Amino acid sequence: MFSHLLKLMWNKRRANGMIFLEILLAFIVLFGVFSFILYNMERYRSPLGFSYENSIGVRLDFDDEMDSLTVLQTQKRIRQDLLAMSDVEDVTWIGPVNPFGGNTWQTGSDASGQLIRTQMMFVDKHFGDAAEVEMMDGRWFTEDDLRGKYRPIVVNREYKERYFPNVETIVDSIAEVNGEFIIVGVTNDFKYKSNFAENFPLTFYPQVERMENGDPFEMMIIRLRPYSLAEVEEPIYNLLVSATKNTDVVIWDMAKDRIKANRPIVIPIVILMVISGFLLINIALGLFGVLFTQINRRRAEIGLRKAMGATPREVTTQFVMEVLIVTLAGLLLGTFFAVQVPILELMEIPGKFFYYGIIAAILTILLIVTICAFLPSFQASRLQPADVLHED
Amino acid sequence: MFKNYLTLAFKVLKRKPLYTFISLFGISFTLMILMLLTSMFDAMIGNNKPITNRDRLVIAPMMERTRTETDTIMKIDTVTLADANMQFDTSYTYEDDIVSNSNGPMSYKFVTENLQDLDGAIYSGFYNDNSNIDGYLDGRKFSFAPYYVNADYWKILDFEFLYGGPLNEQDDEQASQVVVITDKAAKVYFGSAGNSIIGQEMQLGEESFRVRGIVARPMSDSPLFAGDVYFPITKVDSRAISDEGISGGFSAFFLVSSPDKREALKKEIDFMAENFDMSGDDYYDAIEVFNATAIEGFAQNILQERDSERALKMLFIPVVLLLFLFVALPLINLINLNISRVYERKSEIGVRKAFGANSSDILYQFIFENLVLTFIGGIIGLALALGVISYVNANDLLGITRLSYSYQVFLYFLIVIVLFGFLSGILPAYRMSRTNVADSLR
Repeated sequence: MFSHLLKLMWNKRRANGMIFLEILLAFIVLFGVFSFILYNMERYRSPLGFSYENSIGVRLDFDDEMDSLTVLQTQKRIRQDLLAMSDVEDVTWIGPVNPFGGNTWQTGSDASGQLIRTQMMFVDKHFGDAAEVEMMDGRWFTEDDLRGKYRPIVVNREYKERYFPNVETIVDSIAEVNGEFIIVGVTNDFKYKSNFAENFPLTFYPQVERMENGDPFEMMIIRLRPYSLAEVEEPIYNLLVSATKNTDVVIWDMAKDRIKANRPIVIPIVILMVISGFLLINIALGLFGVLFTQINRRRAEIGLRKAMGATPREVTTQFVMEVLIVTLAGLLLGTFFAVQVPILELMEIPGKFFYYGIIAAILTILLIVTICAFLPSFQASRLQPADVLHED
Repeated sequence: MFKNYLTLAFKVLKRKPLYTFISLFGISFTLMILMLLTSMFDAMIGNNKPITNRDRLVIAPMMERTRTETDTIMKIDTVTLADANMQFDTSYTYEDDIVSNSNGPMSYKFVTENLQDLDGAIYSGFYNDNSNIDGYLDGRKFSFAPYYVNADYWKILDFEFLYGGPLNEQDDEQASQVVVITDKAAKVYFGSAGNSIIGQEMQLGEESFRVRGIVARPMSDSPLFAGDVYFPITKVDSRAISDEGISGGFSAFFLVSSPDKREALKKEIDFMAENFDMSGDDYYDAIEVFNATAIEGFAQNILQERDSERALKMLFIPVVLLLFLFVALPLINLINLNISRVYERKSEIGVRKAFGANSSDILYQFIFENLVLTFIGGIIGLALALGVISYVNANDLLGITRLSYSYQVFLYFLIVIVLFGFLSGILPAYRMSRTNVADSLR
């Protein structure tokens, strides 16, 4: 029966050519859209690793005339004053890199023949608690660690898994990243740029060294009691302005900042989904119309087949199969083009997402085509031979 | 005859509502999306105010400082064993590696000393967008993005002044307490934008400023003019002015006399950077000043890619490809549908031909009918697009970027409608016009 259907389709290749082309193009569009979305969904799945819902970020400006000791004392006092406020739960000072802030510090060092590339964040000893960072191994650094022979660092899970996959623990070992440091803890998954950021090795440095070079902490993360943001924002602003004697105080809501940081990926995804959704509806309706006319034109043939003993089911199967053959031909050619992307490594995205994209696109198109073909075929299969054969 | 065709077209459309609906759905949505995309591109890279001179701009947003060290690489060529001692035959190669780099905007001193009087540039605009102004008005928070700009800035960018006027050289010299604000900022601060606001005082940070002008908020999101309030450049933090280093918070852009002069200016900037004396810096030993045309800068900004040619390719090849696919699909769909529609009217064509119509008459008729259909779809699409545009703009769904609907967009749109109707109609019409009379009347 299959070879028979193939022949039938080949004989009508001119009429089917357009459907073939349509399926091919639809496949290519869906393949691209699905690959892009699946790739980003995978990234979205890896957790951020810190709390942001009830936190605000603050940027301050200290007078350059202040010596580092005065700045340090001022910062300590600001933290205490903030903690004294009833709605403030925890406060941490951070360096020039802040979550969702859009800037990146990265360093690469050659450590015993291994190139270790890591993003950098500069934080104080309260960061682990204030941002509610989960530790996989070890602990956050303390005041005592800062006085040790080696300065302490904390790294994230990706750092350990990428560079030391076979070691049980890297805590208490010396890391050569921009100097020699002792690793005191490993966090769970942690990425700070956005939900769609790559899970990249990250090292938390204490700010000490930068402080010695005249670069004090410049930002804070303040975790608040839930739903208190609107009331405490102005008191916090006033407190900070009077403490620094400078109105250059910027306060932002970290939850809103996260949405903003995700926007460059979310907007294209929404646009692509809307457009491809519309394309699919369009194709489904078009296919439906075309098949309706085509099948209607073959009423006599259906009548004849039924008169010869074909069941309605057989008639339906035949029409659906006919359309599916054309579809499969289109998908086959489309897949041939699509697999070139991962095989030739045309994009800097792991190949598996393209294979997932191919599978998802094939399934979607098969589903739509089957539904569109089934309805007219089903209607045709219920025709009575007496009615249709009598017409001619 | 024209009237006959029109009546016929409407009759045919009415006869098969399902097909008409499917066709109209496809046409109107495709055209709506095309319209939205055109409008978005027009807003982002069209020559809209304040960047009407887009083709004559060169931007230099930041510089890169690098340190190069020579790395000695020892290679063991052979290992020999002599008297139970290992002996190594080694060779050394030397490689220059950039061991460290730092990217960022430039200092006030650097831009005014090195980028001020370039031969190729008519005007040199400098701006600093590095800070933020928060404040509270009756317990309500406002947050403004301040831009500290020089007088040339206003000559390069033709902001649309709703009220008042720009800042000038005198303001820069005297560091006047004046400010130009956007209509949006005016609404936030004063509650409304109007002529009465010009000359009023605004408390921004610790100081008070007199409003000099109110500009219409730009259509597009560009780092060149993302500010809410614009101050004279000399009002920037005094530390930034006196900074002796070369990196800081300032970016530059230039106006040249004609688009083909841009390359010369870019070369001039490169030449300056290559020969810049870095002996004053104790760590970095070379600089590069990034420079690009406006469109290259746009692509670089979106893709975070430094190489301007690569950025342009990476941005526009996928966009063109996607656009092609998104248009081709509904088009093929429509052709498909038209072929089966027209097929049903075989006998009508047979009759017309038998009475003396020739193939071209039939061809014209079908194309005309199709154009009528596309036009109806186009009008629905236009209405939908205008609805979406005003919704997106009212709610700031795309951030700062807002969609434009100028007459240009409308003109492109008309061309698209005609092309669409023509392309989707020609193949079925051609096939049908060649039908054999004897066959179709059988």
